[in-house]
Order: sequence, then C-alpha cells, then structure tokens
Amino acid sequence: MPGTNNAFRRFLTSRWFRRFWYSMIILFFLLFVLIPSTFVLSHLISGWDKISAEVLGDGQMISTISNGIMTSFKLAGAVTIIDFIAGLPMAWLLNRGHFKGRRYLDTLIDLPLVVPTSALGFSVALFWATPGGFAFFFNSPTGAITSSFILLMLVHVAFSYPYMVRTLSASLEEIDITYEIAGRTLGASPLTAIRTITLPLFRGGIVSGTILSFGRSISETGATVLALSIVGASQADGTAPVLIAGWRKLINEGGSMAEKYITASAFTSVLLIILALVLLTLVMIIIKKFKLPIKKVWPAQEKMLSGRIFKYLRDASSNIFLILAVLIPAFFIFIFFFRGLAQGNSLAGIDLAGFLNSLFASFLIASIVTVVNMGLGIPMAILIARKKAGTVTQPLDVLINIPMIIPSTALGFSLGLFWSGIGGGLSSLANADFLLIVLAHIAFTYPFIVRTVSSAISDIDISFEEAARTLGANPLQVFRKIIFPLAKPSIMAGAIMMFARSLGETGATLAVASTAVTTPVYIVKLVNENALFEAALACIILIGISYIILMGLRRLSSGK
Amino acid sequence: MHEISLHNVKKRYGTITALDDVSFDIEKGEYVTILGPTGSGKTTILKLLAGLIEPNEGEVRFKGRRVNELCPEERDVGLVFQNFMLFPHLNVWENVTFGPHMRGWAREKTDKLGRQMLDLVHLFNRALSYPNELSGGMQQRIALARTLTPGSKIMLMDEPLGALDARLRVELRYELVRLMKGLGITTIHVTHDQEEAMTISDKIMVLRRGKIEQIGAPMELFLRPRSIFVANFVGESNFIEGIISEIKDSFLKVELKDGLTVVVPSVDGAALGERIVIALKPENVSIQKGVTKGINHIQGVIERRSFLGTFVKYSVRLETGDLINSKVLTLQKDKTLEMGDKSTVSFRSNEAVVYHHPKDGVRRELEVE
Ligand SMILES: Nc1ncnc2c1ncn2[C@@H]1O[C@H](COP(=O)(O)OP(=O)(O)O)[C@@H](O)[C@H]1O
Ligand SMILES: [Mg+2]
Repeated sequence: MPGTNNAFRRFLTSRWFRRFWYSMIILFFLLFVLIPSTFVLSHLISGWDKISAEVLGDGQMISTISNGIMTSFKLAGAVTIIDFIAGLPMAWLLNRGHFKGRRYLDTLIDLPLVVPTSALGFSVALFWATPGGFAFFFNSPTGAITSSFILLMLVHVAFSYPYMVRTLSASLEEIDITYEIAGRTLGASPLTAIRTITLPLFRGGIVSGTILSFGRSISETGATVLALSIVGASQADGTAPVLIAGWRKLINEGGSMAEKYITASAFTSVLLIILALVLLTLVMIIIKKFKLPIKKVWPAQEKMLSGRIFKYLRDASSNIFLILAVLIPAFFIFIFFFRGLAQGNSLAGIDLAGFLNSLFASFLIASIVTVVNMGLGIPMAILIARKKAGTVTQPLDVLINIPMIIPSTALGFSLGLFWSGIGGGLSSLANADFLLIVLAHIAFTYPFIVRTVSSAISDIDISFEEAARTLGANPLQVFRKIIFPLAKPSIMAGAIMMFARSLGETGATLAVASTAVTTPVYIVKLVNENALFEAALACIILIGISYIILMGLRRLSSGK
Repeated sequence: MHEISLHNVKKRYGTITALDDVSFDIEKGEYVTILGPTGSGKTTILKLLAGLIEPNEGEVRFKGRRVNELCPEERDVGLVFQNFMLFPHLNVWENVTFGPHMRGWAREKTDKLGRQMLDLVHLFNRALSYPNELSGGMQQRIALARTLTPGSKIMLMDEPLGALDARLRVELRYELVRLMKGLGITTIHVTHDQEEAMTISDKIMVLRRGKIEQIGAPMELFLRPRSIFVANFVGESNFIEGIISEIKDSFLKVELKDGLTVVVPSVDGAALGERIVIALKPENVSIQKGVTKGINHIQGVIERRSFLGTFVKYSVRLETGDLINSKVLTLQKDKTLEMGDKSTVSFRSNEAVVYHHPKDGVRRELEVE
C-alpha cells in the first residue's frame, strides 16, 4: 500500500516530528546522562549539615580525603604531561611519516585499547613491580619499581597513551599539510615549520587529547587498586576513586559507620567533580590563549635539529617508548601466565562458574550500552554537528563532555544516588544492580560516540547533504545514504571505544553496586586474595574475547 | 647559462606518469606561463622546481647546477599557491614577514622589506588584519607579498588568479607582470586560461598529458601552432579533413568530402593521396551572403549566430557536412546575416595551417583529458 506508506513517511519527515525527535534526544541526554552524573552536587546543599558534622569535623577523614584527591590530581597531571610529550612525536610519525610499516604501527597503538584497564593495570604492575618482570633481567630480588606513585604513573600512562595518540593524530590529519609546505617554500626548516605553523593550528587537538588523557587517569579505579595491592601499598595511599570504592564496600557491609561513609563519598565526589571541571576549564583556556613562542626563530639550530639524525632519534625514541612503556608491560601478563603454567602452578583459586557469570555480565552490559548509545548518541552528534538545536547547540556541545571529565567513580556514586532517590528507587526492582550498572555505563560512555561522530560529521561538507536534498532525498535517506556511509569509520571507532570502556570499567560499577560482579571486579577480587596466577588467566581470557569482538567490529567498519 | 632548466624529466605517481620526458629552459627575467588542461602536469612541474617532490628521472637545474635533491627551504624559490594558503593564525604583517623571519634576518631589514612589499601591493593599511577578514583579491596580493619578501629571484605561481572572479582576474594579471618585471624576477605562471597566457607571457609552454606540445612566444603559438591540439587550445580553430590531390611548389590542392578542392600551404612530408587536416582560425574565415565563386570559397547555410560584443560568430554548415565558425567584426550593420541564410565562406590560402592526419583521429587529438 504505497499510499499509507507515503503518509507515514511524510509524518516521519514533517517538521513537527523532527522537533519532537530532537527534543527527545536532548531529554534523553539530560535525564540519563547529565543530571544523574552531576546529581551528587545537589548533596552539597541538601546534605551540608551532615557534611560539616561527619566529614569536616573529623580531622582524620579530612586528611584522608585531601590525600586521595591530591594523589589523584598529581597523578593525572603527570600522566597527561608524559602522554603528551611521548604522544606528540608518535602522532606525527603516524600521520606525516612515510615508511612501510605505518599501518602496523597504527594497529599497535590501538592494541592496548582492547585490554580492559583492570587487566592492563594488573599486567603493567606485574611487569614493573614484581621480581619476575622488568627486574628479572637484573636478577633483582625485588621488583624494579617500589614507589607506589611511580608505579601508578606507569600504569596510567599505559592505558591513557593510546587515547592521547589517537586524538592528536586525528586532529593532525585535519590540518592541511599545504600550510607546512608553504612555510618550507618560504625558507622554514621542517622543525620550524611545524613549530610555527602546524602547532598553533593544532590547539583543538591538544585540548581534546589533554581532556581525554586527564579524564581517563582521574577516573580509573580498577587498575589503580590492582597496582597498589601488587606493590603491597595500603589502599589508603591510593587515589580518590580508590577511597570511594573502599567506602562503598564498607557501606554495603552496613554497620554504624555506613552513614558517615556515604557522606564522605558524596563529599569526595563533589570535590572531584568540581576540581576536575575547574582544572580542565583552566587548562582549556590556557592552551587556547597561550601564545607559543613563534616569534623567535633559530634558523641554524632548528635546521640542525631537523636533520636526519635527530629525526631518526626522535622516531626511534617514540617507538621505544611505545614498546617499553606501553606494549610490553600491557602484554606482560601472557609471559607471567605461561611461566607460571610451566612451573606447574595450580588454578585452584578460580571458581569457574563465578568467573563465567562475570564474563557474561560484562559482555552483556558492554553490548547493551554500545547499542543503546549508538541509537541515542548518533542523533545527538548530528544535532550538534549541524547545529540543529539553534542556540542550544553551543551549550550542548560543551555539556556533552562533562561525563568524560567527571571521574567515573564519582559519576557512578552520583548516579546511584539519583536513581535510588527517585520514587523509592530502583532498588525495589529485582535486577536493580544490573540496571544501575547499565545506566552508569551508558552515562560515561555516551560522550565517546557523540564526540567522535559529531566531529566526523562536521567534517563532511554540507554540500553533499544539500545536493542529496535537492535530488529529492528526505532527511532519513540523507542519513542512510550520505552521512552514515561517510561517517561509518568514526561511528565504528566510537562504538569500539564505548565497548572497550564499558568492558574495562571497575570504579563506576563498584560505586553503583558493590555486590555485582563483572569481570574487572572479579579480577580485582582475585588479586586482593593474592591469587595472582588465577587473575592472570582471567585477564588473558578477557583480553582474548575483547580482541575477537573488537576485531569483528573493525572488520564491520572496513567492509561494506 | 639558463636560469632554470628541466632536462628529460620524468615523474611518476605509482602507475600514473605525470610528466613524461619534459625539457625546457627559462632565461633570467622571463615571464613564462605553463598552459594546459587540468591534470596535464602543470602543478607537478612547479612542485619539482620548488623541491616538494623529486623527479624519477632527469635533472632540475638552476643556473646550470643540478638541484634535484635540494630541500625547499634551501632553493630560494617563491611559490604562490592556488588557494593562497595564508596562515590563518597569523595576521597580514606576520604572514608577509614570515620568510625573512625564518631566515633570522635582522629586525630592521625584515620590517623594511615587509613595509616595502605591502606598499607594493597597496595593502599596508591592512597589516593587522587576519586573512579571513580580507577579500579574495586582497588575499591574493598578500600571498604575493609574502612570497616576495624573502627576495627570491624565482617565482612560481600555481593558477594564482584561479580563485578570483572574472573581472578581478583580468585586472590583477597585468599587475602581476608589472610587479615581477619591475623586480627583475624570473616567473613561471601556471594557468589553464589561454587568454590569460596569451596576454601576459613572454613565452608559453603548452602542456598536455605530461608532455610539452610546444614552447614559444604567444604570437608564434597563435600563428604557427605545431599540433592540432595547440591550434585548438591557443585560440580555437576549425578543422577540415581532406586528401591531397596535387602538390605544387609550396602549396597543396586538397580534395574535401564532396569533391570540392581548396588550396592550402604545404606541410613537411606531404605525399600525394595522403589524408590531412586543415586548421583555420575563425577570425580568418570571412563570410558573404549568397553564392560567390572563387578559390577557397565554400557554400553553406548559417546554423547559429552568437553575438560576442566586438565580434559576431557564425556557425555555418558547409556543403561538405563540416561545421565551420567564422568571426567577423560587428560593424557591418547592413550586411547582417540571419539563421538559415545561404552564404559562402572563404579564406586565404596562406592563413590555413596543415597537419598530417593523426592516427587516433582528430577528435581524440583535441581531448583535453
Ligand atoms: N600525489 C599524487 N598522487 C597520485 N597522482 C598524482 C598526485 N599528484 C598528481 N597526480 C596525477 O598527476 C597528474 C598531473 O597532476 P597535476 O600536476 O596536479 O596536474 P595539473 O596541475 O596540470 O592539473 C594527474 O593525472 C594527477 O592525477
Ligand atoms: Mg594544478
């Protein structure tokens, strides 16, 4: 019946329906992402009495919280700087280098992304902090690294580095290389051309790389907990997310102190959120306003530094960094496991049913989250990229980033408060924990798809869409025939990131539901019980399955 | 010593041969245009000269010295990009003084040069504007000033007027020549606009499919095009095919399709019974109403009349079946011809140019791609 079909189609493409649809998209974002993520801020007002009585009045508590927060920010700051310094030449190499193995290098960079962060943290910590790791080559009876802060730095660099390199290299790709060439024809040496022309045009990329790297480090819980327990440091030496996860456990056990720990968690979350927002806003302003010293030029010196030898040195050292600081530590777990196997270690500590259940839960959550956010994030990306929301577009574009900047533990805590505070809470539902975890994961992975896809769409010349419209395509057809095919690589990249982020997340999961057992949580538990060998096996299985799924997704994105 | 030479240069991109055995010499102070359709390899030549790419074979020479491997910043060659490529994060002054800055020249010298070049392009008052605040014409002039400040004596320009609107394009092209000649700069100007090339060049190089078809002064190319392609690309031409029926001194008697004969100048290697192609510029074809007889007179019917301003262009369907264009001055009000009128076209023997018949046919020879 073509008649009804047409009427239906006309309805779908009518202005009224479009408005409704856009409003729904925005509403979803507010209700399921933004408000739950920041709900805890309201606690500052409503729960102020409790905060001042139970937390501010307790000197011990205050010093614990401030230590945790200090460690978090010091760590995230150091990690971001290291990522940037090591990542910039690598991004350059990936984009502007001409060599045979470039494609392989590209894949190598992404490899750590398939390793769930808790598994990765475990592996990195084993490598640096146990006698069988890096120290093995020096016959040392202890691990190479004994300082817990340095170990945490190494762990965080390993999982945040790929995000930095990816972001920098994507934004570098957008800068027309002709500017650099024009500079060279005007007499600039390669290094000078990069410094005075490309870098200043590159601020946007530096800002997003910083936000991602910083946000990843300040959020991470699982990897941090694991690293601390391997080096034998007290969890109290850890970061703020580790504190919150610890309290959450105590809250669940109940007891007279539970109330106090809830207040402490809320207060710490509020501090984390506010400080992270303030700090990143400052960084953004500084990077945008900061004038690179492009006025000064040292022709002779820079020419020398552009020379072949220095270029080789630079390329070699960024490759060595990738291998030594990221790849080997990230995959050391395989060596650890097989060595253990050869030595005849037993797998007694693993409870197979429990482990399989956790695997099932983890992959189910990651899949649901990915599918839901594809459906709801892509329309938002279009909305932002094509400025369809009028004056609301600009603020939306900024607000989207918030869940990425908020430490995921604080986000999880906030979200838990929000949903359990509404109408008796979700906790009355049978599978409340599962639902809460899904909601939390939806909230913190949402920015990944919106960001990647919206920047891809705004790069697509709108003339293509206009041409299609003049040729008679309706907005839905334009999406299917023009936007989707052109943005497909970015859509898939966003999906991969969401999936990997959800799979690796420990902090947010623990913050909303401390009894739920996803694989990262299970691994943390094994390590805490000192069942390292079993933990290694669990990590390897998790890595293996993630790898297969992500390769499948990637194949989907490159195929038709 | 030639200022610039290419010597048997080949440049391949994968399996595509962008330049195939290209050689030329350019003398100091010359204003040379490279004229050719899109994809013919014009930009590739500029890139080779600027050091952005290296040839697969052959040599690039400046003043007789081989410079194949010399990097761009050491060549001291200015390049003006088609889209100007003004650095968007720098203002006009910073853009224009970029070159001297890169060379670490003293402050006073840099300032003096910047000022001088901005004055030259009449834009000193916009020194503090950013590129996106300028019109296309202004951006073009700033791009020019930026390329001039380092004082390079060789200037390469890739379709420098291509991004401007028609009127500005015409105005600025004379400005370009005036500037370059005034500074004694050797210039290579790339364009696909034959009128632009004709009006401003000392020398035109016609490029087609990576090969040089002809190098010469504009007048020479116009009057003595060496190939059918050049005859058509540098001022259009009519082409009529025929067979040589008689060779007499330096003239040929040629039989056209319906048995009609015309007399045209000879061509090297002409042989009795050979197929040839006659090229005629529309300006050299006159047209009269009615039937008149004589040497090189052919009857036909007017199929189209277009008014071009100074000229009127008639398209006449000849008895031979060929369609021929004739351009006549728009003065003779009394003799205006109408569509459908029977008329006679004629031309003088020595204004025709004769070519051997190309083996792939005339049409293929005229293709620009
Ligand atoms: N980087 C490149 N890679 C592959 N082919 C190229 C590249 N640059 C140019 N070509 C090809 O070389 C030929 C000449 O190109 P170009 O010099 O840009 O032509 P023009 O400037 O005359 O339009 C074209 O067929 C073009 O497709
Ligand atoms: Mg070109």
